[in-house]
Amino acid sequence: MSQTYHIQWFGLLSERRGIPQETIQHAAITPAELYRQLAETHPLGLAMSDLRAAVNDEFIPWDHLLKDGDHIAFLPPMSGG
Amino acid sequence: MAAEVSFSLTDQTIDSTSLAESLRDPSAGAEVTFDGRVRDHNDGQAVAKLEYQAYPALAVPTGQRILAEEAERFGIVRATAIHRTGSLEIGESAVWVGVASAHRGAAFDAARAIMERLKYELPIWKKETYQDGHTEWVGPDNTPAGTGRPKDTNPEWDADLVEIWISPGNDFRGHHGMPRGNHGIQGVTEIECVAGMGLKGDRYFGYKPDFKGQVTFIDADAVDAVRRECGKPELSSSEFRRNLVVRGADLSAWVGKRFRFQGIEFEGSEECKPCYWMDTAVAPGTENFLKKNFKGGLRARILTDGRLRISGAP
Repeated sequence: MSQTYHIQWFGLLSERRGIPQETIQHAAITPAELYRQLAETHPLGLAMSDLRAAVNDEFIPWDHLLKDGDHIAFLPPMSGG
Repeated sequence: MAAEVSFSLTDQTIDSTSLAESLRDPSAGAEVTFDGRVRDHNDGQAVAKLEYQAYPALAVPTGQRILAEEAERFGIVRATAIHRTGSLEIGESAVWVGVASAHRGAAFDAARAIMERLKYELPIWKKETYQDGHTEWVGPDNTPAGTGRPKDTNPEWDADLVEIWISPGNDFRGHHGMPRGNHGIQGVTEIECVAGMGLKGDRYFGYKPDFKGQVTFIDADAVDAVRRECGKPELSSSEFRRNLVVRGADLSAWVGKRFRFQGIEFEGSEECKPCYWMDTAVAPGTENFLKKNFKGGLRARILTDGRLRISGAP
């Protein structure tokens, strides 16, 4: 069964994906599973170990359980300053 | 008393004069401010301009949390930081940090610690446009964020993480000629590693810039050897006060080398030599026993952020 996810892409990932955000239906139930599958169909080119994930504007571990309607963000290595 | 802290993002020119005035506090004898500006070169290339993209809904609370944590850790009175977003020209302020404290030491240290953490933890991304027209998203170490970074080629340890220990204070260091401290030590199943800083919650987190012992590793086999040697099979590996007990990695092979463990990048700095306190903490003769065959373990720097978990933990 698939759920609705609102995905935000940042930095290099938004450039590689070609869009800053999208809403998709997907069967993945963790950010790790979701990223792994999206990386198979899009040329994202960054390993999950280099990224962090956020759900509903909070950092979460990769095995966090996603709910229908969650806002998910994939964050490349940050570069403030 | 909780410190006054304020973090914000702006797409306007940073007004450092009024920010500095907002730090003024009758109890503060020291103010340290840092102004990070756009440089005309990076990594051998002439930079024309740069752009910051932020994730404001996460960046603001993250910045606020960094300021609050560092203000508490250093006991400072006020901390303010602001980060630019959008397009910036050469010479413009990109980030500004100010702290006010009773004394200068804490003010310098806190400003530095806050700035380092903003670079690595704030969800903001920097895109440089070079004089020749090409653009690049850059990482916190100012190298390209996605094009063949050497870090991806460093070998990943095929090792188990058996135990994780953190302690809020030093029991041995600085206690020469005095009784050992008893800050206690906490075993955890996972821990957050912060590049350049250390393990969140540990005594050496942000201890000093480029610190060689941001994290310490000890081999579970060395712990077992000590248990046999001194006839204490129940001896807790926490007595050694190393952070990470691992099995399956030859720690002696990684001095001066980079490696990945659970996807996080580290750089071995030196042998974690045992000190005489080991004879008190464990049993007489332990210091000398640990000195042989690198049994004291490895000190290392943390190069990338991430969470370590005990192998097999749910």
